[in-house]
Amino acid sequence: MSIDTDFQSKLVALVPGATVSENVVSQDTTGVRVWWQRSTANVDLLLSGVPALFDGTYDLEVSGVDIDSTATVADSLKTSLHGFRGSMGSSFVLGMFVQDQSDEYIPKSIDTIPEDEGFHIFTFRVQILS
Amino acid sequence: MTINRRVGFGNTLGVDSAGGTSFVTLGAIIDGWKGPQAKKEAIDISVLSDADKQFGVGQKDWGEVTFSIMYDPDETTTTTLETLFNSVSQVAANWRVTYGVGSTGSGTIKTRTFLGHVVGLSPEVKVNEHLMCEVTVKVSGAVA
Repeated sequence: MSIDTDFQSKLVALVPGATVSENVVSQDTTGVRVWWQRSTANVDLLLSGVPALFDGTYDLEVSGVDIDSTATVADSLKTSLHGFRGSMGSSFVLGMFVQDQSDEYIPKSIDTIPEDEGFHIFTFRVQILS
Repeated sequence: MTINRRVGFGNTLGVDSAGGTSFVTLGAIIDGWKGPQAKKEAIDISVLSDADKQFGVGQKDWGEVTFSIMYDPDETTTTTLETLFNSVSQVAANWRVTYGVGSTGSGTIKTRTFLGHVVGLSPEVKVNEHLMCEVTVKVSGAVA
């Protein structure tokens, strides 16, 4: 299993009531949706050719029509993921760090401007060192 | 060649103020530490007939360890370090660095210990940032 698969499983376990989708947009508009996508994945090489640290970043979006439940899921995810270290499925995470997305970030999990469809959306970036 | 990839997150620095081995982890270190910054003296042992300079080595100086903490006069990390700094005892505290496991959870947890005195405390207060304090520990003797 790849670290992406393990990350998906971890997200599903953390928010059992929400729809968690990797790279595809769920058509379910009733509940809270968690969407994520791998943004970068870099592995430095030592001079000898031995791979060094895996440094990956993931865009993560939490959206829903109810602001309170959406914010609750977003806050819960941030709290659970930020500072995580240890086994994640078949992967071992040396460190996981969550930051808010930059102001320039455009949400990808909603086709239109979020406010037009009454969606509330929280976006952040997850860095995984492995 | 097997290299266990390790990062700073999850490593700890502990201290036993009495110089023993009952280490208390300093939980308020902000983002890591630097050191011991070790040096060894290089002694010129060249003689007139040497075409190339020859060097021997002298004593090792394990230098200092520096780090920053979140300063809180009520909290153990701050009070421990302040007590150590204010102490005039010549008995050095015992410090222990603990390196966590590496990638895939492999590699063993390793420690390094050394004796040292707290020789510098430098609190920093800014209007919209948390209180910080820079700490300097002078290593005495060897790092094992």
